[in-house]
Amino acid sequence: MAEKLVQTKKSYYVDDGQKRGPLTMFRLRHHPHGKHLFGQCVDRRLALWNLEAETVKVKKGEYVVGSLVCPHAAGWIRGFDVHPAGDSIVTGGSDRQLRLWKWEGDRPSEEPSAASAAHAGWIEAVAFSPDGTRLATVGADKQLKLWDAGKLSLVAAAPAHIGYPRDLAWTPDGSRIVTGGEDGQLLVWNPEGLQPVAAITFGQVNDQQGQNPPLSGVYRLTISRDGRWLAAAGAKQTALFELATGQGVALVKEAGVDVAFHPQHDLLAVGEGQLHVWRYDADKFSPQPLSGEKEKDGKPKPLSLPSLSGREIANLKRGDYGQGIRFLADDRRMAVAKADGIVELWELTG
Amino acid sequence: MTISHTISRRLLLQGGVAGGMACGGFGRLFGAESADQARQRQKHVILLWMSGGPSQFETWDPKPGAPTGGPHLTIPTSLPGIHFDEFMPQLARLAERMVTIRTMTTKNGDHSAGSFLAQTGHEPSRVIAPSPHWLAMAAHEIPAADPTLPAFVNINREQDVLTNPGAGFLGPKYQQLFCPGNGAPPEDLPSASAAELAALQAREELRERLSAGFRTGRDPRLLDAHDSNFSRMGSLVASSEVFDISREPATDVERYGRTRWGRDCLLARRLVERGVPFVRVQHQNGLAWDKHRRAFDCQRHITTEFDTAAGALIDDLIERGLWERTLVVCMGEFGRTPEILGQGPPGRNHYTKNWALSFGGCGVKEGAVIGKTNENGTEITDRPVSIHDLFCTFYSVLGIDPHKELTFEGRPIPLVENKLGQPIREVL
Repeated sequence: MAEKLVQTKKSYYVDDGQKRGPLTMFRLRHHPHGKHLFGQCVDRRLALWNLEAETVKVKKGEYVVGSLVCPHAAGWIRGFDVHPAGDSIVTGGSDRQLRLWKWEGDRPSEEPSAASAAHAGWIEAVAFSPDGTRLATVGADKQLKLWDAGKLSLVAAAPAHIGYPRDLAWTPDGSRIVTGGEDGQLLVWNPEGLQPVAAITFGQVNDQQGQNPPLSGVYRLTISRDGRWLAAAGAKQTALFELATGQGVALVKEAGVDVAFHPQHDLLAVGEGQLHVWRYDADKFSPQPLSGEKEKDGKPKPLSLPSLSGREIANLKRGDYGQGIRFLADDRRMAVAKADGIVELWELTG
Repeated sequence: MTISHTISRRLLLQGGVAGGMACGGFGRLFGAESADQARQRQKHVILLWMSGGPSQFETWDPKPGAPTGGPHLTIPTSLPGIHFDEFMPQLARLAERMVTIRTMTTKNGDHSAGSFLAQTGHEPSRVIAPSPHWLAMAAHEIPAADPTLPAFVNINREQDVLTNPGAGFLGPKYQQLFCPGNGAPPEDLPSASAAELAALQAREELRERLSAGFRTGRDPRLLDAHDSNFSRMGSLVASSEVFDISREPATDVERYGRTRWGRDCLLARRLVERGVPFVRVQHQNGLAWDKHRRAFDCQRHITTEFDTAAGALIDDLIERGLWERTLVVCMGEFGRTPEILGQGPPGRNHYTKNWALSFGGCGVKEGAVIGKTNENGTEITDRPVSIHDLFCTFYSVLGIDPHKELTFEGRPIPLVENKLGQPIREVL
């Protein structure tokens, strides 16, 4: 049983030599075959690293240097996913384009095998269904769309969220999709016909006014390996819910923005500048109905839930604005991305 | 009995007395026709102030596809080949009515100093007296057609005297009247009832009597400037309906956007429509456009909000026949870096080397796009425009000699610092 995290010797970095600041990371995914890691960053392309490659000395230090793949013509990639069988990668960008790329052994194809002008606004998140036959996307047009994953042909679409949607995830059995957005709502969908099943109020909504408004509502979400728990991260806290009932379970205060469940163990990683890794104790979870109370301005009152049951096994400092957490295929390692464009690997040890 | 007591209650309610007192005589009461004509000739300015420094990349000079371009895409404007940020559909539609300057260049990247420079035409450290806001200067140079109204109104709060310069050496007579924002009227403004006006009049007479002795041996110019604020109170109370946007149709409120900014732009239109010459509207509080951190996501909101209300305002000015004599200016104090670094990426830091703004109306050449920057937006490749050029242009549009000198304490002070700059000939 993993009880602590130790940083490995290798770190990963990508740069195309352009003068425009670091390639700040947002999301990480690994290829299911285990050797490759992808990063979504402030660019129209994905970063790709061979996890087993040797480090080289570059201006910033000694790193495994990656390449930039899956290009869009303009804007930034906002969401991407790797097919569960590893056959393809899908990217969605602020250019409204959904692009499917074949995996060619050690890198994606140079040209997309399929493409679609998927949304009338930035594509915010994309995810393959667990069986790989479907693809779900949410866009700034506030639509949830379901696609044939092989052809990128549209299967269904439904209006979702009042504000911009920010993330989505499938349950491991493929029976539900959950979307979250700036409106503070978590919407649960039946993929058959894209029927809404339930709405869970996360809150933390703001009007995005002023110089540095905090993120509004749900920014990232993830579902546990048994499909029972839903974790949603907002600007300053992360909340756990029981997905089947929509009831609240726990709050992790002062840790938001980024969140990931471990695919094999009861581990939850949460946080941005400080990344907290918890071994949670699901036996002690006691789901409770949400109050549904609202403030005078109509916004939901802050959630009142107990702290997360369990034990914090690690508290990693990755610096402000760090985003991107991925537990890798070997179940031993966790990739952590940072705002300076560097990805670190941490190893779970006994 | 003073002469004011012989005026009818009806005139009191119309604000005639207070206004007459304010301008020191009653001749205007009998010159309604000429007053109307003067109002028809009145030039106006609405400054839509984007405090903090809006990014040229995410407004008027986007570089989609460039490494520095960021995630925002562009949309075509009404001008062939010209694109704006994708979250500016209204201003893109109205581009053919506006001037777009893509090559503003300044040197001061500090918010306070940059804001002062961009609103006065003077560096804060180089003046022998505090420079006035250019709209206070305009109020000084262009007598208001309707002196019962405030000449210069500021809507929404600002950081400090540098980010929103006041009347400076022009004195309190040209100080902006402050409205707190969200479409609200000046704070603590009494209702325009006959009783309030009569009480105000009585207090004013008492104050004048008590002050008479104080004037002996003192500089009458300073005292007059001070007194002008009191005498303007009557006209302000009488004209309080000018500030009441609840009288505007709900459809207009909707068009401007149900936001604080939308209500403020609607108030600006109402003020100008009723004769207030110069209005500055501050977009959101503080340095809202200063997007060092997480710039691009929240920029979607601020740009959309700005665009919705600014577009509705320009539409209304055109539709209501005010466009030909109202200059609308959309700008902040500088631009933002091509590098997407920020103080917590992704964002953009301050950049003065080249930045962008837009203005239109009041007879400027519509659809002009001034200047070009290079592929990554790091350098000007054609037609730099200095802040002094900009102020020379603004003053010229208003019919004011930009290099005119005023005198303060015996020293000549030009409207534009050191008589620098030339009007942008392409837009005049």
